Amino acid sequence: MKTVNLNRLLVLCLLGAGAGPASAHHSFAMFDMSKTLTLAGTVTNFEWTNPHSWLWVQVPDGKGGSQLWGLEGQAPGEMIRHGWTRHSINVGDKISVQIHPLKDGELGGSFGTVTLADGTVLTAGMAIGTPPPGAPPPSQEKTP
Amino acid sequence: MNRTKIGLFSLAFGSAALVLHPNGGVAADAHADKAAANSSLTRWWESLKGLPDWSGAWGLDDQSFRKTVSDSTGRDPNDPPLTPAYAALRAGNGAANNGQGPPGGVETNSVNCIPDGMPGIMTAPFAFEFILSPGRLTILPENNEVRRIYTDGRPHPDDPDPTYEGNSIGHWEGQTLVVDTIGMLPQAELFVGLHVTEHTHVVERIFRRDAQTMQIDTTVTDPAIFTSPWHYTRTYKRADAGMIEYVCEQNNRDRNGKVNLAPPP
Repeated sequence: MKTVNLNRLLVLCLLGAGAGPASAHHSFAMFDMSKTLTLAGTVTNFEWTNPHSWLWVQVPDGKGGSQLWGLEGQAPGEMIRHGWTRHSINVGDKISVQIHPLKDGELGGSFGTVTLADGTVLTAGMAIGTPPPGAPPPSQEKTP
Repeated sequence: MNRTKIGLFSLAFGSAALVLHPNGGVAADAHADKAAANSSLTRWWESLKGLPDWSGAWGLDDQSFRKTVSDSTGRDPNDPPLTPAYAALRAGNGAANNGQGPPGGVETNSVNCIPDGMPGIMTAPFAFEFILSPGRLTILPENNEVRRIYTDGRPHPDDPDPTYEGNSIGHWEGQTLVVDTIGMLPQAELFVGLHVTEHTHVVERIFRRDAQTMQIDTTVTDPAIFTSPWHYTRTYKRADAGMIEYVCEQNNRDRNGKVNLAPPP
């Protein structure tokens, strides 16, 4: 498995560079940070936009149909500082993605780790200072 | 070449001018020298001599940003030293940040693409530029807020119109710029979830700690918010990717705490 982000992450940690593990934009209270879902589907759009990137994934519902999920990521600036580019995910990619779903049950969430079909792992969100397994949910790190 | 052209030449290059002497010889023209020394262009550059190099893009480092989060969520109930009223406000905010708050989340300025304002903007996770020009420091956070800090000796206005960034004046103490800010709007953020008042007073000491670090030591005073002046130190590291455009209105799907899930066209 290839981990694209790790070397960059290490460099960032060593230099202490980058702006921090958080969204610049808002509290994450709208997402259920205690719940992590893994979705598998096909990318229909990757909005490389401010104040947040948005990843749109068509997810088979297991009954012959599919549902479109809208997933919020960090701002491009934060993602660039964690090794992403606007070409990291492309329309048509088959991916699996870990998300914290919206509390209100709509088909949306905040996305974290993305795994591409070739095994490439893209780490989003709480990249610098990713809490170790068993640590409290990262919501506290994603406040402002 | 006539004297006017030579004078402009010497002005442009800021060096002693050699001109053809009227009697045919070559001599330093004292008048041209004086004109150059007094020109506004020369004074402009001279006034920057000896100031520190703050060029580049600087982002709050991870450790400092964690303090921003801690301030906002109240992990340390004694930091900042809040009055009971503001401690209660923060407690509600902190609960929300731990995922137990209102569904829409904490109402913040930025979720509606409103500036953070002072002093909150300086501890937000953006990169910053510190642009020194004669009589002025301009701080440019990546989210397009602008701080204009006048270092030309002017005082604060007697009754400044409140603004998000407030009214800032500064003076140099060696290589440290001491910045005094008043006159913020009550809508400006102290940090996410808490706002300043019209009486909040901010003093910052901005300096280059080492080749890779800018440091700002800040004191915020406001008897309504704090039981004693709040002192904090934050450090900023070189943001290697430089400044990256952040236009909040581009695709804000989070306005008013309600996520807009209309698919993109």
